Amino acid sequence: MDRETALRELNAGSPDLQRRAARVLGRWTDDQVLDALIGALQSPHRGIRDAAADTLIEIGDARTVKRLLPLLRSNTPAVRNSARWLLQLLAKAAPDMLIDLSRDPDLRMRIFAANIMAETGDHEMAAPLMDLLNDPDENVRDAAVVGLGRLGAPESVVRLEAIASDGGSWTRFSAIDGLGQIFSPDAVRALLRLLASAPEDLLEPLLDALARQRSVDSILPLIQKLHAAPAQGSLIVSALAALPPAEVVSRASLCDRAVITGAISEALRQNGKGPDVAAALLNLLGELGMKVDSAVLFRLLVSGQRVVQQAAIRAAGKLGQADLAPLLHQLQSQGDPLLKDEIQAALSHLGEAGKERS
Amino acid sequence: MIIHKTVLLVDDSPTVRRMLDWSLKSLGVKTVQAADGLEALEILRVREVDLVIVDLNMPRMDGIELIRSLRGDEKHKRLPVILLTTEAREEDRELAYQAGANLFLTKPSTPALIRLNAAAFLEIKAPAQPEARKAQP
Repeated sequence: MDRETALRELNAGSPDLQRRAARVLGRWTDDQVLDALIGALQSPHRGIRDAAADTLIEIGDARTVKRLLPLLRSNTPAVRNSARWLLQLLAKAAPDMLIDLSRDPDLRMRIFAANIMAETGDHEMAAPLMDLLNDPDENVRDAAVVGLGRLGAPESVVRLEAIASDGGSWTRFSAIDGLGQIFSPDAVRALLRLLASAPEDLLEPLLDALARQRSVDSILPLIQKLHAAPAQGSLIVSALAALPPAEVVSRASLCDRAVITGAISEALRQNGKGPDVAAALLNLLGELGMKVDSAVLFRLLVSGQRVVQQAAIRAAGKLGQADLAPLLHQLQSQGDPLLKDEIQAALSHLGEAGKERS
Repeated sequence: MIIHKTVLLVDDSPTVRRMLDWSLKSLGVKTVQAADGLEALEILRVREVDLVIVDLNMPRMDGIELIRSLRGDEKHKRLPVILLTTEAREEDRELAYQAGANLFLTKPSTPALIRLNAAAFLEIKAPAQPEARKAQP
């Protein structure tokens, strides 16, 4: 297909021909072709839009970026979202245009600018996003907060901590969540300062953010928080369980270990945790080495969720919960290959290896 | 309190999805998450859902396209959908209601408002819960 035929078919062919033409036109990258592809991006047919988008990505220069920016003002959400997605991929070809967009009088454009900057993954975008933290509109500021977290920009920690301490609950949440994505000691320290003074309703996002950081520096403050706020124990131990169990145990006193064990038992009893969190709690429980009410483990051993069962079997063995040996034998007799090794190891711990089920 | 209802959260921002999940936690409902309309349709094909909270601007399939697709499908014709967006223009509000949204909410919202509206559509009682207060020095 030659250039002229492809242009003609893109403008007036059947949807199939338009789609094919949109793909073929990538061989020519003059302005007329670019304009035709930008037009095809506004087609009601998804297949044509996708083909045009693929070709525009291949071209991907500053001229493409310049032609995509006006589409963000389209009244059709599908068109502005296609443009936004393409700009995320191509913005590096013309970063100045994106910075200009972040100063647009229309706040929707400034939100788009923040969203696109965040998704470029380019740390150079942190500075213009920091500027947007001073925007008069709360949604623009929130988009900038989210973007700085997404970029993992350590220079924004001080600003995000200030936002997380004050302001509307939506933006406070975004700032805490952002700090959880900036992997630096400063961000951990900021989260720990916030934890010390957090209102009860922001405790959960703070603990989630700390759990994502997986910093051993948060172990002692989390244990202190557990002593200070036992009613929130279930949430706090979930954050502790995200950390290496051996590190937690090495920093915990005997009294701490008893309190953590109690809180884990309660969290597991509540049954509101997903399988990964339940398994992490069980791993920590096993490492703490303090026996628990067997009923807690019993329910998890028969839960049918493999990852939870495996962790519960390991915990039963490590804790020496001998009263669970009959159940372990019963599980062993079911011959589940995914549980076999764990059961064998647990029974060895319990001194039950080789014994037949009574 | 565990309520056997499921809310599908559809937003391309993981932060917003986490925010919505956190906001709804005290209702005791289960949540499932999708990053765009296409992912949401995949989930709806295999899971029963009682409410959808969806963003407007998303890649691949936006909120309006998703709502249109749901309203064209016998199974999800009456599935309650809340559209939550930063787009506060009247054109977008009209577009959303024409497509079949049950409610058009603009950001920034508050956890309490999201909870209240979700509870109304789920026909459950929203527990009273204070909003985030200023941190104590």
